[in-house]
Amino acid sequence: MKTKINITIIALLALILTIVPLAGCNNNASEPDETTTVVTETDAPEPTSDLIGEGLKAAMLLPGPISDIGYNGPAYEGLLRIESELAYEISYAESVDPADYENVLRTYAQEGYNLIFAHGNQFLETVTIVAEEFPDTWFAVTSAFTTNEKNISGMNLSSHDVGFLSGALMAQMPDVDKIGMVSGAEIPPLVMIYDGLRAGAAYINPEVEIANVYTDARADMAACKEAAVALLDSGSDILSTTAGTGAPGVISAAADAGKYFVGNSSDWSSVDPETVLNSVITDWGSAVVNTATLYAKGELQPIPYMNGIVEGAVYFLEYGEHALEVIPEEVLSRMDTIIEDIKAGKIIIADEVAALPEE
Amino acid sequence: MDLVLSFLTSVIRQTVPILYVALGVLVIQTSGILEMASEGKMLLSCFITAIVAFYTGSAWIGLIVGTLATGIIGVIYIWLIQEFHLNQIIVGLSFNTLALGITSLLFRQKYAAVMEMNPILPTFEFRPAGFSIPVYVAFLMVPLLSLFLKRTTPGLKIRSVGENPRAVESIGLSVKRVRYMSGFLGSLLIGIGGAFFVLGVSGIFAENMTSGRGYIAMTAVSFGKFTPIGTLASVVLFGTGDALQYRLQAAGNIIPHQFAQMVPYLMTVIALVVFAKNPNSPSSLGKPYYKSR
Repeated sequence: MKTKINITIIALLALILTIVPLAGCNNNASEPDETTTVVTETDAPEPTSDLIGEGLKAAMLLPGPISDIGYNGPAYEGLLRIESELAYEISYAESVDPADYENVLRTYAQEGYNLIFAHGNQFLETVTIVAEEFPDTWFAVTSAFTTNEKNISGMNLSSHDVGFLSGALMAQMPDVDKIGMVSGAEIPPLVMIYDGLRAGAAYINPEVEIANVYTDARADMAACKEAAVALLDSGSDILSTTAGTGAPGVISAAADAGKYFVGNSSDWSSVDPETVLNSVITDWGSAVVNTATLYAKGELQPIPYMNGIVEGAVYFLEYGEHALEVIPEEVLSRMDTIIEDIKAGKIIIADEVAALPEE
Repeated sequence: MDLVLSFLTSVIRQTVPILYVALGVLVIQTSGILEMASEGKMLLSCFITAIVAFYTGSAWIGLIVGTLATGIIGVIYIWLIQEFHLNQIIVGLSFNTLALGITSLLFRQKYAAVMEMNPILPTFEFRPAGFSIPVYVAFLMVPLLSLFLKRTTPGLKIRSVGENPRAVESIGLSVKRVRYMSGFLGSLLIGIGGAFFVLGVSGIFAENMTSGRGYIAMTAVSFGKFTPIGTLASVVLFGTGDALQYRLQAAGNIIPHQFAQMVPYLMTVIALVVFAKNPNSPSSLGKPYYKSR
């Protein structure tokens, strides 16, 4: 009798041990069928202007939930914008499993969607296969630097632009002789932000020193904080980071030392509004709208597009109350001038980066 | 001088949470239970502590509740192993996965949105000579634990259960009871480690924030040959390696950053080569115990 009960308890525990972690780790584990099926928006809001997308259908595949802050959420916002601003008919599939990529892509293409967004470089291989079979459908793949040169466009955000804006602001802050950077990992997009930052700082003042510390890809807040403290000890006067989730550690180190921080990718001011001067936003939504606008006009080319400051996809947020108190007036106005010059083509960031000395 | 001080501070900040967890693992392993769940327990402690500290506004209440909760979780863990004779490695690993899943799920569903507004948790305000109380206690624990395991009756019981449970049974002591006790005590220490990590070091809760520190603590125990002093030495070694490599990088282009990042691993390899003889692990470590009839 006792063994029977024991077996039942073990079976129950085994069940809990397998189910609960799945529910926690995997975004779509609770109802896998529901999340990967195609969700079509029916109640379209009244279109406002420029209805160039009338009669066109756009779909989007997202690797994660539409509720996240930095990556999937903004892209989904962009999809909603092309519905309301350009009158596209839209549909999306969130938290798509790698096993379902091909199936979902094919379903959309067969249902006659004209433009299909695949939000992530991980989709590129599958999109390339499916795109061959549907030559009349257009695909836009995020972070794709190569395409099939027929019906796939790459949709990228300019990491150089992100770095340039933050570098220009940091180098102008009073008493800044050395900028400290906590780099997440040595991968191209993050190295590009770092290069952009060097170019931005050098544009303001070639004398400004820059110190960089690489943490590893799994670095967390505590590790990033140690890296930031090491930078501050070596004389850095202001900090930035590309370490993503580790950023609060860098902010907290800056706060402890009474220094400032300039962020990127999302708004970090909620962590500590007195330390975070501003954050450079990478707006996937604008990239989506730009791509859909080009497509509706019949101007979309099968090339990797770069969306940056000029395209309105990379920008500083509004300065917060505290930031406005500590950033000198002339710095703010010079930043405005720089951004205008970039938009007017007077500053070409790629050239500024190319002119950097070898490190 | 300032730089040396800051370097030491950095080492201490990285060392203390792992030291608590490692000492906890040591107590549990000494009794012959293979403690694979330290990562999960540490994470659960971080989570519970963060929630309690967030809602009460007190670091100390958070620490106490988080620590006690981890102690109870530790007893449940020992219960699974002792009553069902489950494979200790499997239970430990599933425990860690479970902890990661539960904390991530609850945090996303219930707390992430609320805490986003004000993510910095309360911390330990009272800091004589620059460090908060748990830091001093951590280093004090090392000689105390040494004494406890070598000189006191409960300590000796824990050690003998780890070496030869049959012998302990033959003199009329309950092996299970001793292991429950060591599981509870050890998990309390792991709990303090998690609580101090989230309140004293990181200041913010994030999913999977321990990211392997529990495993590092486990390694430190075997590396330190199952003695409190050895454990302290290996934890400090790991911490020094990390602090050193960040400083080498920050100092500029003296050496390529790849070499700087190698430093912690290099130090570990060298130490392993030098000290690897005689693992000195408890004889019955990881072996399931069946009471003789």
